[in-house]
Amino acid sequence: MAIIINIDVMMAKRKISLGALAERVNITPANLSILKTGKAKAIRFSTLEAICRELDCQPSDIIEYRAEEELDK
Amino acid sequence: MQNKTTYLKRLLAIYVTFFVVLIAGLAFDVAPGFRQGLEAGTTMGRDLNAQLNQTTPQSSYMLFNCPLRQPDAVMFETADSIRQVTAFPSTITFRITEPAGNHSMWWYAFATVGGSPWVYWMTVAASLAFLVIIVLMWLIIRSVRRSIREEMPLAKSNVWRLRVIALLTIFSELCNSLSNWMMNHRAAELVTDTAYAVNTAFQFNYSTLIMGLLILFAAELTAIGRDLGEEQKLTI
Repeated sequence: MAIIINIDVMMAKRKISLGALAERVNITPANLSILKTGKAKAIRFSTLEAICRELDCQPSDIIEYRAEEELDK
Repeated sequence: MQNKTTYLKRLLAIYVTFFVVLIAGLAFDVAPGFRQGLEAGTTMGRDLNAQLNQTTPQSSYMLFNCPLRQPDAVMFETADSIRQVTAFPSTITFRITEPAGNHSMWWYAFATVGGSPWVYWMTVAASLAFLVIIVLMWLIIRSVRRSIREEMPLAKSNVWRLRVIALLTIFSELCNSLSNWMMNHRAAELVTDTAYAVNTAFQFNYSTLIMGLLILFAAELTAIGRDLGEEQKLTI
């Protein structure tokens, strides 16, 4: 998929674990793991808002678009 | 999942009804038919046995429920002699005994229905298809009941089960129609220049075809529902 989730990069920058972030965002660690591994099909605005709030970042820091050709290289 | 108990109660009702219908079908439809077939087979066997001493070997077969083109009116009085009843027998069953040809014993054994082993195998295929449909229906009901408990309805296995049921429904109807058509043709050949005229048109039960297509439609709906559920599950 051309949409890349960079939540792990932001989590590393903010030095926060998956469990801790999941607790603060109020979602299950399993769901956050689905998001982190790029298996998620969609993300709710409320979830995105909570993640941005907790990681103190912009949505573009978490979600990135890369063209398919670029990914194939 | 909310209303889990309601769904489970409804499915239990379907489960119980399924078994009641199955038992009633066996008792009032399959068993009498089997008994009738057994009696006809026994009579035919007895007659064949009596003919064994004849110099020319004979073969016998049945042509069931051949539709008549113009049913003859049969008039009779009731036992109380008050009413006069006119009957229009629309189908007729034939039993044919003829000198055996050069085919093997097995060919004649399987040709007792319709005068050709193809008719026999098509009848068997249609019956087997019905049997598979019943088993698949039971598996679907059981699977849906379990899936409600596990909160994972619309399983992938049920989608293909529904597809197989739909295809088997259409297949069994095709087999029945084709075997009837072959029997009617054979009967029409035999009764040429007699008082009977057998209708040889290919008669297909369109309601069964529509039912099969509806089941196929339900299978596709289940597949779409499953995909939607999967997407919902992966929406964070």
